[in-house]
Amino acid sequence: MRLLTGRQLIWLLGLAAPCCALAALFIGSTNISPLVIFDIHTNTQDWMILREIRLPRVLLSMLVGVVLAMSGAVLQGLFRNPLADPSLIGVSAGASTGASLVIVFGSSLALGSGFAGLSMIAFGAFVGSSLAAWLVYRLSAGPRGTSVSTMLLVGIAISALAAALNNLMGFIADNEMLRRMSLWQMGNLDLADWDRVQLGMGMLFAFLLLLNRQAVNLNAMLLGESEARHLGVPVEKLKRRLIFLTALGVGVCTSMVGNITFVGLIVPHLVRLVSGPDNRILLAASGLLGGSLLVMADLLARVVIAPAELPVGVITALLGVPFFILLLRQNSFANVRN
Amino acid sequence: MLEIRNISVEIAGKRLLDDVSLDIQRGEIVALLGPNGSGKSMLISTITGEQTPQSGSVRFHGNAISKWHPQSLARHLAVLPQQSLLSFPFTGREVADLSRIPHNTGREIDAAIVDEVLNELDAQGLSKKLYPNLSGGEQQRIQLARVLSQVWQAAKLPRLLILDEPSSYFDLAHQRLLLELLLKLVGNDFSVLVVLHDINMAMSCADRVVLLKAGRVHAFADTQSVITKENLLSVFRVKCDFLSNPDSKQEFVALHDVVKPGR
Repeated sequence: MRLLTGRQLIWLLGLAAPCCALAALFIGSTNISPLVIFDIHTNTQDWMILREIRLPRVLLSMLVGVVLAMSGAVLQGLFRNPLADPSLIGVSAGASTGASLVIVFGSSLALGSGFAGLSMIAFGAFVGSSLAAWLVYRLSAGPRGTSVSTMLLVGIAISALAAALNNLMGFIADNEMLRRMSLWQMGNLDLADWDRVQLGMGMLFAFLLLLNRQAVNLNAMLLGESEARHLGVPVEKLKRRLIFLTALGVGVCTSMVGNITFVGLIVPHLVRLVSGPDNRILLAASGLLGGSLLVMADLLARVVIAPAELPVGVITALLGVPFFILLLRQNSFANVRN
Repeated sequence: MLEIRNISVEIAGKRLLDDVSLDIQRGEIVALLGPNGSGKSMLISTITGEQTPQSGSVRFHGNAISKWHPQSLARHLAVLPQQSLLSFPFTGREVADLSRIPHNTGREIDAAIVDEVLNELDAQGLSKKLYPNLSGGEQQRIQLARVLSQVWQAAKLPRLLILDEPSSYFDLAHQRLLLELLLKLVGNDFSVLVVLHDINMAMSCADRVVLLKAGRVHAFADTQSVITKENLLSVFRVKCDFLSNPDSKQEFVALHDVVKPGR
């Protein structure tokens, strides 16, 4: 029934991820020979491209992919619903509004575009995504799981509210602010630099620390909240923790690269198809697959109309939308109440 | 082992439980009976600490239920809810395996326990199938295997199993199987509180019966003195006769009339 055991899948993805990263490092609008790393003259143009452009970009897309896919898996567990995705239920929209608010009203704080400015914007995004996640959860989670329609409708409402606020701020913002805000319309990785990689690494560390040892508890949550409680899982604490960590992950990612949709939906679903819904496997495997997928999507975005670039969000949306419709239609999901 | 003193629960101005007191002793099966909406499920959520009563207390082994550490409580008290929906494609076995979360006995012991319980419930054949594809009765058997594995082993203190309509979807053979299993399990350090709709099942397994009516305890005593014509008429509005098997002397209830509520 299942294609691979959890162990096999983790091994396979663990090997695939570095391969994807290497491919993305050397392929691009200018292809770089891998032999360049043996070149002792590190001030050549190829080295510069690798060090200042490609490497931070690959690292950033890898870690954003990891966090988005794992956040999707966590949200699906929390909502007991395989159709939850940070971008579909408004968490990403909340993050972009929070970030725009900081950009527009934080300008008086003289925030540069350096690390401090980035962190402030990330913090604003985090607050926005926390509010959105909490609101969706409160409105759509019932004692026996969540209703798909309520969850998606609340997501639409929150996204609409976020769009309205963003438009409103467009009237206040100056040109520079507008340019930065427009980045959130469609996810884009071309802003990748070492500051963002540092911020992302810090976030990833906190994210994984918070998620540590929660897989089993999340498995119990899939049975239902009261069932989990009867199994000795501290449900309220767990929920707060999971909402906090997904808001942190999605918020910081969105503040850095904008709204990248559907990664959190497609990846965990593919993993479940291959090796089942056990979160001890699902979380790790989703992280590995999500990272590899986003690295490859970004590679595609860079080369498809080279030397120009597509926003990577276009690629993930093009992949994701048909997949989402397929999922909605699938009969095996008829037992999700709607 | 379980003491419930004068609990009342009121939600949105509606009194769902009214001054309910009862107790469960070591080694007995207590059946909880009552018509729909009489507060059976609310009583169970109150016992397990999910619902905090406005007044009264629930004590398990002498300690207030809210004071128990969740993991330690889960090793002594398992609860089978009425119905469990699961939207993720776990196999039957994986669902049953979740029962061992509160324990740290190690993989081998856990697997042995789940195997044994699945065998007892005639559910080994379901272990490789996907839970969402199982029929209602099969899902219920897997859930039952899960809660039984949770308290299968002796713990520090006597264990309590709470079952909310465990056999509502079971076929006859599996109803009988469950009945025999409960009678076998119950002993000095194992008690059961079971919500039932089948009066005859209650008569053949329960030591004592709680009869709930509109949130109040209508009667709570040994089975024979609670299940009487008068009580069934006043609580369920049904008339009945008692029949007896001449060989085993076992008694049965035959229901024959529903009394419409008069004006």
